[in-house]
Amino acid sequence: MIEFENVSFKYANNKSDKANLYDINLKIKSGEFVVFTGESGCGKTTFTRILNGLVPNFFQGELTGNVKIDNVSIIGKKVEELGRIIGSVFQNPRSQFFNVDTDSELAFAAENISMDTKEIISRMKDVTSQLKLEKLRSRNIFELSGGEKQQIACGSVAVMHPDIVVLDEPSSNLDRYAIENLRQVLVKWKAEGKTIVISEHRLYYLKDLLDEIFILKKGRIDEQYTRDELIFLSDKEISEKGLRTLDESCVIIKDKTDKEKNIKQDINKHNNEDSTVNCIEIEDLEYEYKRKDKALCLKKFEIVSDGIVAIIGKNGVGKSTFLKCLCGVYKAKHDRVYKNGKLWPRKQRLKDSYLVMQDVNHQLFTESVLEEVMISMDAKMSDTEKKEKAIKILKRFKLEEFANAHPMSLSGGQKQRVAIASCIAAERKFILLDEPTSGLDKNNMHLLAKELKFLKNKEKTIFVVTHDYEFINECCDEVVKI
Amino acid sequence: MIKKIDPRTKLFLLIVINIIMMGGKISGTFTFFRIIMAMIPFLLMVNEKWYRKAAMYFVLYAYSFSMERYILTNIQTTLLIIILFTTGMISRFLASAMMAYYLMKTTTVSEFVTAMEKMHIPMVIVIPFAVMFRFFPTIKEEWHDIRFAMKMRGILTLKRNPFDTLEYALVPLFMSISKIAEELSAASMAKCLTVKGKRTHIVEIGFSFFDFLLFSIGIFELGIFSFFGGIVA
Repeated sequence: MIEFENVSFKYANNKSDKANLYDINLKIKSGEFVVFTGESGCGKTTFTRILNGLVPNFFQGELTGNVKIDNVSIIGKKVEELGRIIGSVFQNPRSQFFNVDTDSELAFAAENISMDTKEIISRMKDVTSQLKLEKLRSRNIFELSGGEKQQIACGSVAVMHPDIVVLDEPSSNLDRYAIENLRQVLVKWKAEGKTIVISEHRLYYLKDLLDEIFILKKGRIDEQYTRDELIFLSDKEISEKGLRTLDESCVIIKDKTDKEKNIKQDINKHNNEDSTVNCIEIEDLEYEYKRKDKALCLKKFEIVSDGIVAIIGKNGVGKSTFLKCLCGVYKAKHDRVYKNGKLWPRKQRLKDSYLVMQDVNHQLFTESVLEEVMISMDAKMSDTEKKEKAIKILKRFKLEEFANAHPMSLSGGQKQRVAIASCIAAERKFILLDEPTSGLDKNNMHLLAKELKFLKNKEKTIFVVTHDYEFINECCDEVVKI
Repeated sequence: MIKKIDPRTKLFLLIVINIIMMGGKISGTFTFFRIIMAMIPFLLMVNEKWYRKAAMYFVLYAYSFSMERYILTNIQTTLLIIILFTTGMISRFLASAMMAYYLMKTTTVSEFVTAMEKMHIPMVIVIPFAVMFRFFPTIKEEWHDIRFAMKMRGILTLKRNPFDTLEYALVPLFMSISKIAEELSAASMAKCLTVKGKRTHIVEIGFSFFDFLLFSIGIFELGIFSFFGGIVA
């Protein structure tokens, strides 16, 4: 049993007088599966950190109230003491491994608490078969995909046989297939009677598993539902509460077949040099990975669009590689791409297109948001012209108040908007996005969809690689499977 | 094929190679001992089936060493001095660099930590080294993505001030590395890394016949070095 009595917490770097989490009173029975959800910054991650002790030991601040596990207060306990009874899975698959190889990582926590080696090895064997990790054993972690990394993270938790597992947005860097694997693990854990506490945006994969869901709003519990109550909420109610959809089982593809044909005919007729990209024909695109066992190979592939195109496809078919080849950053072995019937060489594509990466942190370079937007602009413009234009763009994206802020101090959704704003500044016609919604809450996803629609009206062509069916249904005109 | 070499042996060989290559003479009987040392990383790489790297190393080293030792003995022009200088650098540092690379690539973090603990080196020193193993590939990964983004935004051109370009590259690199470092420390704490007391180890390390062989070669070389060697004459 986990009990929270009047708990509130304020991070040390929080200058406002409002706590990050307050007025928390709740009980979680042993073996229950509990979900915390809410907008970004609502305090759900802080909640998981209180449980595994990272708050207030590692992330410092002021913690009041009492938290008890099985009638023993955990206030004042060290992270490593709690680590014996609570397993933690974190959000970012790239930063939760101490080791470079998977076997060492599975054994790592158990080794740290001086568990007998024979015991560790036998537990690792069990966990491997239970969680189906056979293919991932003895591998270099840097060669695994995000989903595979998250499976190893779950495996290393399972070796410890914890009674309680705490997961902090475990799906936020995962695609659909990896989420399904994660769900399988959760099903097993629930069947074993573990208490599971999870903070998450995406609810569709949890809806059949959860016993109770808490919706946090600005640091306090706003509403709570049991599974039965949740299922009876209408889509509209879910949406109004700012929650992601519970049902992501299908993509509704708008019927555009006739329109598509029309566009194509138009192109063939005029073959005009219209700057918008209506039809992309890939006659031959082949890219060889460094590891020779894989290659991306597309032949006779055609995408016709006058708007936002979603690109879906199974894990590992090379969707991201496809984007990188298409925007010309990767040099493909064979590279024959046509735009509106004309050859579109790689160097030109590099000038025409702009890719918003999955991890936007890698594409923000400067010290302020304003500068970020300005460096992409035509070098011939004068500084005042640039500035004027940049401010206009920032206003459009509701970023003007952050003009002088450091891009890295913004939230994930805001960073993404800065990246898109700088892409507008660069006046590229062809915009590609790689899994843009993976870490976004409902609100930010809405905003992104709105921005993309706005860009579409500015005659930009947009390609989005995504697994997020809710997002596709909201703004994409077309779905292409590779 | 030797299956496994103890990390302690690798570390010892790295130190010996450094001493012999940088401190040893390059002429007389000592040539022979240098060549033995240079052969060690080569053979170890062949043992790992890294044939291409091994061959490249062999050719580069053989070229540099023979240039320095036998061909460029009479220097007259500036060009030759430059060549001598580069070949000299390569013949002194390449073997150590390859040995260090081999050590990093073939040792897992847990093997390294186990080896260090067996030598009774305190954890305060061991952990930062262990983290280094993990951070080299992280930096490589991040750098790859950042360079990619710079290329796309057209920042990676020679037209700009190189210092600006450097700044644009380093800001996101440091930002993301420090973020990863923070998250990694939190995750390691949650996995009980900071528990006091002895760790257990599922990896078994220990000396085999080949370790003894390699160790004897190393000790022999050190003996020769202290007897005949000394700083380059």
